[in-house]
Amino acid sequence: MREVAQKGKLPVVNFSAGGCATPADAALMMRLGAEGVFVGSGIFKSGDPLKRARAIVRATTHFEDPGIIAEVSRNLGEPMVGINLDKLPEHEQMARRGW
Amino acid sequence: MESYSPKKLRIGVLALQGDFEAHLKMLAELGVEGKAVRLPKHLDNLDGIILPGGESTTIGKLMVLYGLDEPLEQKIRERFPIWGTCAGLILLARETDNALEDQPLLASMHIRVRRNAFGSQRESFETDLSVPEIGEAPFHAFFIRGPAIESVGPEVEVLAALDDGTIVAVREGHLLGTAFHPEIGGDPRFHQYFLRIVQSVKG
Repeated sequence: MREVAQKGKLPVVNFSAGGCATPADAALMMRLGAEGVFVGSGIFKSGDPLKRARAIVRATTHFEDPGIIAEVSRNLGEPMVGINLDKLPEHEQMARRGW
Repeated sequence: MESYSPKKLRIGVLALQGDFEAHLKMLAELGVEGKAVRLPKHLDNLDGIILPGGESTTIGKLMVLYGLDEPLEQKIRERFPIWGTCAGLILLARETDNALEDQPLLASMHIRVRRNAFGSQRESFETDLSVPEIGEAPFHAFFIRGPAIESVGPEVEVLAALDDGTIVAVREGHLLGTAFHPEIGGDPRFHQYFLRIVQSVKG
């Protein structure tokens, strides 16, 4: 606790995860202070996972370079598509879970 | 008293993958301007560069992808001060026992290294090293899936070895190599030693 208070930082790497789907998403996480970005579905549920993975790696490394982020964001194919609330079966809706 | 004027030096840290943040932080604590190097243009107006620990194959591939391999090779030919720590040491070694096929390397120092020489992640360890060049007090070194230096050429100065004789820190003129991670643990003496090399080259 003393170490965390002194350094203002946990003694582990701050990874961000959840919902990142574009190179710009990954770069934004880095801008906000993340030390790494974990992307799963954002890559594997996209139209061209290999191309998108490469682009996200580049955008994470060069998060301070808008030109590179714009360049790698072109022609990546379909991004991961989220599920709209009205398409979600009622029993899957968070609001109706629990008791 | 230190013989260098740290405020006048600009040190780059290759920031493609690995532990570059900790090196930049250590440089800042020493009052030296550190610069993250991600593209060839970031090499301009630097006095020295640190190749951090991380994963040598990944760093090597990204180095090629972003066009940094040739400018760095050129810098080495120009006797530019470069310090490789852990994965960075592997990049600098002329010979690697178990490099992957086609693994991009800078292959400059007359040393032979073995990747992951101490085993996998759970075999990582800390130990106190005697390093006369940086002072009498032992240097607490962190070996994180590190390489070992198996042999050195006659032009290479051995700075530190483990009790069993395994070489873990070397210098060859403007090139410095350490198998461990001096950027963590808070002891700045290896960074100060590198800055002295940089200062001596700068003149």
